[in-house]
Amino acid sequence: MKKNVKTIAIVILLALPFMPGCDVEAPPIENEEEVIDLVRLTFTPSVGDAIVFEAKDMDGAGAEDFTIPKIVLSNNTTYSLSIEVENAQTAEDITTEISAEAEDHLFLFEWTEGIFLDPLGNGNVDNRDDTVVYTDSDVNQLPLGLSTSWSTGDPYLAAQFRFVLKHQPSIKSASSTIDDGVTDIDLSWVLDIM
Amino acid sequence: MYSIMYKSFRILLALFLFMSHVILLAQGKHCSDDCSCIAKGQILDANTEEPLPYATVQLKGTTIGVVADENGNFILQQICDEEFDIIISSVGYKTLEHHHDNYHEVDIVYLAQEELFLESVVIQGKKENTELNSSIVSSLSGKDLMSVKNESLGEVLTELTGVSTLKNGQNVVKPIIHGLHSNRVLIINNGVRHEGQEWGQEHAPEIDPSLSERITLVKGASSVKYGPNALGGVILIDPPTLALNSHLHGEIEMRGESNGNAMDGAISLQKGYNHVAFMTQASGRFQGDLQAPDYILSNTGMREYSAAFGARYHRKHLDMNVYLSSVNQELGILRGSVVGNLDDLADAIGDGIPEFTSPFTYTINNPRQVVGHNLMKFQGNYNMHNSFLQFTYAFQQNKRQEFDVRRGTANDAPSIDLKLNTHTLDIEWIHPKVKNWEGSIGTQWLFQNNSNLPGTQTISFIPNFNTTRLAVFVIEEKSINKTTLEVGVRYDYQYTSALGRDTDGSIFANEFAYNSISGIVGLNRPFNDKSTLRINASTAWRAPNVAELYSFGKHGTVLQYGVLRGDFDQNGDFFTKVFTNDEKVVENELGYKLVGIYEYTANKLRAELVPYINYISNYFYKKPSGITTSSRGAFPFFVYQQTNVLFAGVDATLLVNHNNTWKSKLSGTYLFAKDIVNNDFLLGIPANKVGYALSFTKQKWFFDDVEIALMPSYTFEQKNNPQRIISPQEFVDAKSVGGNLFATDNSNFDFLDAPKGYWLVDVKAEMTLNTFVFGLKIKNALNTNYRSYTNLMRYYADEMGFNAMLYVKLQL
Repeated sequence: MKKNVKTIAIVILLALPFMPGCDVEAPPIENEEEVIDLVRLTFTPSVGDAIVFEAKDMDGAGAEDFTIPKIVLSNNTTYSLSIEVENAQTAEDITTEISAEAEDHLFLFEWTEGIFLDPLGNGNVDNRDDTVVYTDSDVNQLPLGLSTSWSTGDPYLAAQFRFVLKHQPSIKSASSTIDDGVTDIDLSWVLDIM
Repeated sequence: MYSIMYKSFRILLALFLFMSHVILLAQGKHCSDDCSCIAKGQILDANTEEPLPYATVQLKGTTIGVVADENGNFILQQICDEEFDIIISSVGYKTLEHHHDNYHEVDIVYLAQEELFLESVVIQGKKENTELNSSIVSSLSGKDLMSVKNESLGEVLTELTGVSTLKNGQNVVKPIIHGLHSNRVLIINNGVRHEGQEWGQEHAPEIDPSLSERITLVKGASSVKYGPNALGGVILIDPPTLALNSHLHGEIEMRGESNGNAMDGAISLQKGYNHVAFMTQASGRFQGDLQAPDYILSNTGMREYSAAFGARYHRKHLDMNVYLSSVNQELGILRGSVVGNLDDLADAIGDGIPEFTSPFTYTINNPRQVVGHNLMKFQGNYNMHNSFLQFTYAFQQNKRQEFDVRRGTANDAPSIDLKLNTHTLDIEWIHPKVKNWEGSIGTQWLFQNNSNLPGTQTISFIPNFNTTRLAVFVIEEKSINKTTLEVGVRYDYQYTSALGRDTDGSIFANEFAYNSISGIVGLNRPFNDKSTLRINASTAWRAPNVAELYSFGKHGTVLQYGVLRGDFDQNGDFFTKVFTNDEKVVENELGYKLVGIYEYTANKLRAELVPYINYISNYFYKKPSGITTSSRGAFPFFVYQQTNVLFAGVDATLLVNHNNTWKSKLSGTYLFAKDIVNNDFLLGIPANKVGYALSFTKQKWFFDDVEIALMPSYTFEQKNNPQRIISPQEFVDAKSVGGNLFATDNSNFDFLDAPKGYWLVDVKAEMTLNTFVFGLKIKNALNTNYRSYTNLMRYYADEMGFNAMLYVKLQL
């Protein structure tokens, strides 16, 4: 009996280092839908060509800053602005995700007071009731903000233009503000009106 | 891969030769040869834990027997066999039959009174006992464990002085031992190293304390016996022991709680025959949203289902056990703790009531964790006359899914979905006495495979990996007069091969080999019959975990980067890159812990003082390294670095029996911790605490036993926290003018100062009637508003308010 145990022990001990030899496999490739590293603004004037500005994060979730170009618009012109959001590294379009869930999302805007003729004021970040010309809406007829309209005023250099995308699942309302929900995008741009 | 096999093989060969040598040396006489086998022990009353005098101990099937002395001590001598059954009986008590073998030298017998809730049991001492002689341990069992079993493991352990908790809300609770947690604390569940995703501070151990009978805390850095990660200490969780020749017995428990409208239930059954015994357990918990004093903590519901089955087969010289368990949990996390950027965090800190607070519900939404842990264990013990061979094979499968609040269909997909399979094989040989040295030699093997499951719709946070580890150890003990000296040494070799994905989807690969030698020296010295001193100096190690190596990007409201995901250029600017471990060598974390215990016992008083000092070199921490902007705005970012730290503290307990009915317990913990390289305080070190318990126990009214206790405690404000407080708004402001708050000062910081100290009062009343126990326990009886420094939810919400728990247990 004792001999048996010894034999078993030897066999187990010697077999140990050779047991599972399965190789490790790479994690599955996924469509990245979490990281937003490209935000594209397309300003289309009523007459003429559309102007495109792209803010990018060259290293995705890395420690490099988001690079945000200067926006340059013509004075006394009406533009329609459409915002597109992507994950550039995996070519994932997040805009469609946002519009599919329009009732949970809201863009809020803020700018240097008085640079636009329409809307007037400084935007609805500080006060939700202030005017922003939304040209889209969700199923509840509440604004979304992927499409908006802007009429520039007189020339103005180095104005500020900021927008914030809030994710407000089941709490979005006619009065929900910047303090409600979770921030998905918060970008500040420098704007020149020439 | 070839070199590790070769190396392992050499180590094993050396060990085997050594073992054979000891076998030859120790070929002595067996006690069965000359009828010199003995059984000794002490008999205690199971209820009072006082010695029970004059009980009868009889060798089954013979007329050989003895009567215990006035202190309950007995010794049965001149037995011609190494294994035999003894019957212990006393008038008015439940008779107990126990299978004795000579590898458990001392039996502590707890006899329960007839008609009383408790069951008569034997706690076997020595040899097979898991902890070492000089270890500084405290344990929780019997009635004390019974009244807290329904809570999370972390919460249960706070019953022991020196343990605090790291929480991510009430459902995710990790134990902190002497200031250390996660990968720096080792949990041995049912004799098997618990392997889960411990690297995350919001990943609690997937263990249900309802399935346990005894929980022991080893306060030393006991790597030698238990393996890597034991820097802070070791938690041993043992299920009920399977007794042979026992009648069908068990327990049913039902519990209701006012906070979270929780329902909790557990059942266990056990039966033993001559050669086999069986045990089965099941437990469940159903909990809705918890409540702080002023508001509902929305989305803090919880579910837990667990079950276990055990069987034992015993033949002369051979004991075999099989154990299967499964724990499944769904854990809701406070909805208001989800923040997108620092503006949101500033807003959450300023809010009186957390965002998304809604009426009570049992429904659990995102964010939540769905975790499961399955364990299958085979254990065999073979009694080789004067030595003892034990082997344990275990397979564990740990599953973790974490659901975040996301857009569209991604909301139904977990953003973390991991499966960790672990095989372990432990072989330990308790060798015969050689020149008064007693001890054991063992080897431990581990193979682990971690995989990210598809469908998360996000780049995996940690890589896939395979880890193989092989260890050998020797622990020896020698008694000189009354002093016991203990020494041990261990060698570990670990090989990991990892494959991960960079943010653009490209694959990176890395291979690591780590090895370390650990040691332990312990001394146990009774001065007189009243006081004992035990000192234990030990080392522990651990390899860097996957988060420390590979973290990349956003984690809550900060960005964090692992050691192998970036570095600083000559200007001190951080850049990201995937390093191989040839390019960047990452050292093991090494801990050196000295812990002592001084115990003083007089007739009405028992005092215990546990001072300790723990030095850890290459301690991983997240160093504040700059501010960056993402599409969500400004974020501080942290880079994992290594430093040297010192933890020093003391746990103190004083028990006073005023008389037969009134008892007092005073306990306190003090801990000081500092980064001694950067002369800086660390984040998340638990605050100091004092607690008092006054209890009254009597046979009163129509109950067999009544216990009422009042338990106030005070937790101090943590002053040893990072002294630099930078509010989220300051980051936003600094970034908008292009400033880097860490350019000249990159000491540790916090978004918020540590919360103020607070009083809490708990109350407990427990009544025993026949085989029933009725209990009422109230936690936070004064419904105090407070926040705990080591709860990650402290930025968002208050802790739980008043909670009355009503329970009934029936002994079957």
